[in-house]
Amino acid sequence: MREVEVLEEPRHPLVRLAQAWNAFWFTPADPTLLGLIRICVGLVTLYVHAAYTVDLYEFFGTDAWVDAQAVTEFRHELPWLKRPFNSWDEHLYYEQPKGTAEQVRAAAAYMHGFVPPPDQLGSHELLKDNILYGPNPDQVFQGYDAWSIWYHVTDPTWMMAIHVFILLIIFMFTIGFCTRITSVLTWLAALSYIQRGVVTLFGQDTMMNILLLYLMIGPSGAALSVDRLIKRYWTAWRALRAHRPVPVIGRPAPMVSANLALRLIQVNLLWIYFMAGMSKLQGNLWWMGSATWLTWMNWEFSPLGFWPFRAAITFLAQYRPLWEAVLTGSVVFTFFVELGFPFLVWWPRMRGVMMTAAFIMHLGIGCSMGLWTFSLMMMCMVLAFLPQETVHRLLALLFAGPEGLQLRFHAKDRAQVRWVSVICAFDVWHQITYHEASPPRAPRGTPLTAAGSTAVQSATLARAGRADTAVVEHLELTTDSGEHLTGYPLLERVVRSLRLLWPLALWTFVPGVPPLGRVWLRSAGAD
Amino acid sequence: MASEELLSAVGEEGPFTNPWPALVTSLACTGLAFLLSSSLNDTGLVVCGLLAFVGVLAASAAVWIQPRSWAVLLLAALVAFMASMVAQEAEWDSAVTLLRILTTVAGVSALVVVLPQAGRRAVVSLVILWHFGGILSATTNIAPGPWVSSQLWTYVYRPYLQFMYMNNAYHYYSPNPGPASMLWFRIEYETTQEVDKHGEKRTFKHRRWVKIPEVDENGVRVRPGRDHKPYWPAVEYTRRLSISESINQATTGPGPLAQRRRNEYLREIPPYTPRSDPQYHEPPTLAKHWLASYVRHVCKSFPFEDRPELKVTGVKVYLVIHRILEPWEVAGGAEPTDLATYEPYYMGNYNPDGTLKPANEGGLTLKYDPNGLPGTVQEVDRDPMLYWYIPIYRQLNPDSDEHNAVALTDHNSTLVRKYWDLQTGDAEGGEQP
Repeated sequence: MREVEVLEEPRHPLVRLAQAWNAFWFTPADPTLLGLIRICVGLVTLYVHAAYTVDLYEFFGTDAWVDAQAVTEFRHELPWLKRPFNSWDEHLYYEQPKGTAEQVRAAAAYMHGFVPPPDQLGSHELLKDNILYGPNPDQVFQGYDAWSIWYHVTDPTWMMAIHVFILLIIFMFTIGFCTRITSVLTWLAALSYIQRGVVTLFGQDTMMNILLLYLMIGPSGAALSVDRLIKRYWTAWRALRAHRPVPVIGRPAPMVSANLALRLIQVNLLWIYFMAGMSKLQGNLWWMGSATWLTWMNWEFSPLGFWPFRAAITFLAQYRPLWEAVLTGSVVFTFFVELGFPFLVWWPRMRGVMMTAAFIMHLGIGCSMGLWTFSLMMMCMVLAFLPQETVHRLLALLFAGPEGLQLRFHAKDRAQVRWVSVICAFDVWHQITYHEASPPRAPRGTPLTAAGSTAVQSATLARAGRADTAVVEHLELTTDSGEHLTGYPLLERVVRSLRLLWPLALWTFVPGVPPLGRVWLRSAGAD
Repeated sequence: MASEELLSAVGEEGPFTNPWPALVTSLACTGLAFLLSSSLNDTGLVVCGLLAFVGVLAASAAVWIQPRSWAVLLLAALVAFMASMVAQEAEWDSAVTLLRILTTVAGVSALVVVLPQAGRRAVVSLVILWHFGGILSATTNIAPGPWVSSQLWTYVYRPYLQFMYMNNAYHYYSPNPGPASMLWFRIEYETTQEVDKHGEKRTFKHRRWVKIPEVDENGVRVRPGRDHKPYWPAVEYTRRLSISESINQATTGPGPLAQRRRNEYLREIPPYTPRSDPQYHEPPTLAKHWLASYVRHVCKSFPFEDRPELKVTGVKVYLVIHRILEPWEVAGGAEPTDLATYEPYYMGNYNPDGTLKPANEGGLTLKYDPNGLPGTVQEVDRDPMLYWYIPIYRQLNPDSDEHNAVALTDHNSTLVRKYWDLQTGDAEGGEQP
């Protein structure tokens, strides 16, 4: 095998480079990790936007901090100076012609605090023109293109209605419902708030925008989503309606677009860390090892009003060697993460260490500076380096419940088929074995794995101590202790066993809910 | 196991496989909106806008169902274009831009999907390179930055990065972390003639301070107002910090005109000599633009609490830098909320419409004597303290004009705030910051 690889390896470095590029960006990847990131990002995004509800008009209304007049002028008239392309003269942007080039330069120098001789400045009028007329129209771009619904909707009632609609969209994105559409809408909505609330932004908005963009590009709803549950339901329902056995639905198929989105997040994160670290190298306080003091002692950011924090800071300040050690340690740690992460995270042995270090750094930023939403978004980005198997182990740890349940149903009963499909959709960790009481004939010819593209569950035809041909009038669940359940008790046991349904299971403990559930099941014809 | 999973996933289908009903719906909705939009009033346009929105949603659903069909993508592009025409009719310029971009993306995608796999990957690769090239230019286009980056940002990437909000440089807390800044507004309301408790008719001046952001002495972050409600959710407080930070931008030092103004006012407010920096903070043009808007907002949002009917007559604005305590000050028991740690810079006296009051409008009234000595350019009508630091400090002898750097921890020192009170007008009495 190794010999073959050596022989097939292209010699030309450009071909090797192309192959490496192709493998890096276009190798199919499991979308589950992307789904996990979507949920985390969605929750923070939902919080951030729900928080706007309090200040909707103060940030985006006609009389907001940046009011409609100011933002209109900003996006239509703001001059963006063009730096001359082929000239050494950086002061060409004053309107021309206004005197000689020397006089223009003198006026520019004057504006910067120098006082050139009067003969260089020229007349009063000339000076005034050169100082006050501003940029030469040929040397500027005016305004910029941006999208925001809040540029146009300023009526308070409509604003609140649209805001609530947007919150609904973000919620749908978070749970992964119609994700291909809601991801685009969520990004556009977030961009709307960002572009309108131009002076209210901070690092969190940057990270949120980046993540939403990449989650929109990738199939973030292909796993851990309502979309996925619908697909599972639909697959099970179709199989049962076609009188095939209940399919075992595995993980979502690996997808190139999932890998692409994860790679985009990874590369962007590395660049963020690298630039953050490199730019700090310009600061003398970072070199002195005391820069983090300025973040911990910043009254407006840090929790100095929280007495344990204040006491710790005061204690630290009273012992200089300790102060220096802690401060220098925190600075070295910051550089270790920001400059080390982009390189060391690719080394499998160091990946866990670097990810843990990054999490600790962001926890520190959250605790000491109160920038929790920013820190959470950064952690979401770091998640993109989580190995896929770790994600699945983690999810199994959280959501895989006890096995050994057996569900008997009658494939010709439509209501039963619907219920089995629903249960099958939520039975992600295959806790239940499904038995058809009157098993249909297998389709002729093609094996089920190819025909239905579903793996045959080998244990499907196992019996639960009943005859195969017995007609099952109701769904029947057999527990590992041999208990037979139907109707509401069955439903209760299922929602308590399948951890994805635990939010529903909580209701089964509420007094009054079980009788209501029985009535509902009876009316639905399922009891 | 892996192959089994792969097999299991390939044949999974969602409930929708046919994109055409959604596409027909989208064409019908958008087409109707497009046809009606030119002949309707404002209410009609709202209906057309909603129709177009539904149309675009339906088109995106069709693309979702069958993303690799060139015909679906092409028709989706048509839908987006018709929707952009509706937006144009409604004069929603930013929506027009967005929809034209969507038109282009859908149109180009229709071409890309017919390419073989290698071609599609080549196109995607180029887009990746373009995207990260833009991010590279944005992150290196900050002084000191290379000429190439500034040129790329200016002439190539600016529209893309600004539209996508991808123009952040990621230079967090660099070169060094800085202190927080705040905006303090002193709102002055119209005077009233009222009878006081002694039965005498007197003229009352009404004023109010609004501070953004504000943290009380217990470290609780509170909203402006008499009840001082804490900020909730917390992220809304952070956004206020960004508002004040938008004014705290780097500027050049004082020009000769500003220095001259200041020199003429040394007797009333002397500079604080222990500080060697220029003690001058003139915001750049964009920050002045924001400042004018903040003034308008404050005037409309913060009426006088006892008499909300009183009209605002002016607003004095201060950019306040909150100095961070040094470790020896903390060890000595200094308080981070000591008023001497607040460094206010006077940003001017404004009309409610956001314009500087005439006393501060000197920019256009230059007096220049071409026959005079260098530096004889004069200006008139400017507030002498505009953009200058108003000293608040601690002194052992508060009446001495000789400033000595006194540690905040010196319990014999006295807070000197007479210049602050003089400049703000609070010396006349009333509420104090």
